[in-house]
Amino acid sequence: MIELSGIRKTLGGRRVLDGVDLRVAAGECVVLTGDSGAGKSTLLRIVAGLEAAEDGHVKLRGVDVATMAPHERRLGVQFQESALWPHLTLEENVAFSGKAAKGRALQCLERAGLRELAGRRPGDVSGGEARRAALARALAAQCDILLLDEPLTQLQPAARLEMAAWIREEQRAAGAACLWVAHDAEEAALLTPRIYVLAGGRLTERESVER
Amino acid sequence: MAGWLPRILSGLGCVLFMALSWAPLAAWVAAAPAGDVMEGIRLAVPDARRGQVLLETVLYAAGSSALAVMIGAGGAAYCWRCSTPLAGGASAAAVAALPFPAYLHALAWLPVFAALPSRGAGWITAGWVQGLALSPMAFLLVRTSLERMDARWIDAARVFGPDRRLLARVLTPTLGGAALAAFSMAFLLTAGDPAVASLFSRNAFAMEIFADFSATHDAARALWLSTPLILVGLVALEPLRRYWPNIAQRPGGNRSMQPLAGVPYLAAGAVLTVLPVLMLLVAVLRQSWPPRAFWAAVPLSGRDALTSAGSAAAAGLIALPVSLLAGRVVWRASKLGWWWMTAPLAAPGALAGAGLIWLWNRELWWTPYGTFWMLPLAALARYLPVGILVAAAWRSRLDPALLEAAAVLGPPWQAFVKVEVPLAAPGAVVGAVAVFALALAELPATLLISPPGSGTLSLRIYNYLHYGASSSVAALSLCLMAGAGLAACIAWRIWRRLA
Repeated sequence: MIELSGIRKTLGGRRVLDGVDLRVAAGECVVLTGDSGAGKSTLLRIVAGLEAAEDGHVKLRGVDVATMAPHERRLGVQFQESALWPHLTLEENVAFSGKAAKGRALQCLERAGLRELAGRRPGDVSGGEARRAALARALAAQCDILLLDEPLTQLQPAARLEMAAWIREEQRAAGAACLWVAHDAEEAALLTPRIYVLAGGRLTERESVER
Repeated sequence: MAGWLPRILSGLGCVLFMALSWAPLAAWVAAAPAGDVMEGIRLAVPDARRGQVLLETVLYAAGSSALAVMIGAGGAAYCWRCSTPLAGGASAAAVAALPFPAYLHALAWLPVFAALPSRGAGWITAGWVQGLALSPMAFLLVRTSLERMDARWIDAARVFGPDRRLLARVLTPTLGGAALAAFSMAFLLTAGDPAVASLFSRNAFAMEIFADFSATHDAARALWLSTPLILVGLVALEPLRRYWPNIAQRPGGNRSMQPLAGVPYLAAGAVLTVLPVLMLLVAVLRQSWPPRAFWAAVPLSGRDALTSAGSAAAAGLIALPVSLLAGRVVWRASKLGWWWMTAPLAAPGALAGAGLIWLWNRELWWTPYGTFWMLPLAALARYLPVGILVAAAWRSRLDPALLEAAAVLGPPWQAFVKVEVPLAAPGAVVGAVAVFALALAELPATLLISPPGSGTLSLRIYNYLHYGASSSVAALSLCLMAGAGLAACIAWRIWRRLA
């Protein structure tokens, strides 16, 4: 479903991705960890089409997407900084990506514990609530590819477990390939046995973690 | 699907910008070959007298801009993020005084200078007045630039040293770029406007162009004569290009902090800036109470006031969509594109007026020449780049993740209509109000293109000024200040509320 081969990227004169190869099959979840500045978010942005790789190929659903605009890739994306549009309500934010999302917006907000805040704007909710709304936006359209950039940060421990369970539920229901960036190994262990560490521009599979 | 809608609309914005800001300037380029080229070159190279006028104009513009930046940047550094009444009052005063034309400052200072042995005539007094008039602009530009700083940096610096060290080692390096951008903008606005210098019996280079065009009505001569001033203006644009991004940074948090030492400095700046209002009030009230002069002057100039407000509103309304769409292009523009968008600022006001006359004074199916519409066209020719710069500055303050999220989650037209336009609109609104405020006080081009029966308030005040300050002039000036100040306060409020 997601296939990366030989991805290279240099930022500020430093090679952050140096020939990254990765395959994520349908229904599979892969976690990327690594130190700050290791290039995890950059890799996610390359898959989303927000940045171009200097070298290498990105294939989604078996198709090379080099010339495909970001929205044509049909992705559910959660950004590191939430990126909720401040002039739209939470419901309008979640419903943004089309008819499918519009139909499920309230349902997703309810699942995120934000049903009563649906009419509020992002500036009127807490950081944790904004984070959950951003997750609802990423999941609302039931895309078959999910890109999640540290979706559980800023959440209370109980909420983290609940949101992680929700992501897995949605991912299984849609049979989605999920690429999940996690800053710490503890968060990664909540999710999947397939954990990769990005260091020195290269990906290495970490020892499997049995839950 | 290609994002054709945003591209078409951006292109339309650029075409409108070209038609409004570049066409009057390009007009004299078209007119130039019609004349004698050798004669043109002779005009373009200043002789000894015009060389001296040019040098004096450059020194005058540089000196008054330096004064404006000194007062404005110092005040901004002291009251940035302070929630004290004095800091709040100083910010409000700067915003309200931003659009006060320099000749109103001159009016306020004339009685003071009249008491001097030299009777106040000279470049220094003209520079003093012009510098004070432009200091609110420098204040607001630097203050906006400071918003990118995280208050924690300041807290940390204050733990380790006194405020003066903080000012020298942390704030000054940070605000240096913004101060240079403010200097550049002040220089451009001063060099192309001869009004204040003429009030103090000094001949600025832009006045040479105005006088020559008034005598000959030859747009090509105006072009050749303007060449040295345009070249100076283009050089002055470079710091604006280089340091404008310092102003257009994303805010670094909004936590307030304890006021810095230096309250007297701030108070002095605020008093100097709002002094014209106080002096004019005194002039109105001194004659009689209740102020009969005020009530007598207002009906006298009612038509002029309506023309001023109408033409400024028209300029602002036209500037709104153009700033929104063309600002989208400037935001991402290359160096060349940036020059293209801002170069009209380097042209003196009289040249824009001459170009408009050359462009429209001809047999056409319809022409704005001789109608009210020449006034907004002149204002747009001069100040549209300011509106676009403000709109572009706002855009660069937006979180790029918001636009990226829209690009990923929806088609380009939806991202443009539902996300990009609403997020960018406040900047375009502020830019349009800035154009409105500047248009309200525009003089050098208006002097040339003002149609019969459609005089503006600023024109009437300027004409009265040559007969000496009177309470009627003061009353009219207060009306103009109230209108312009109100527009500036609305714009600032929109900016602060939505930033």
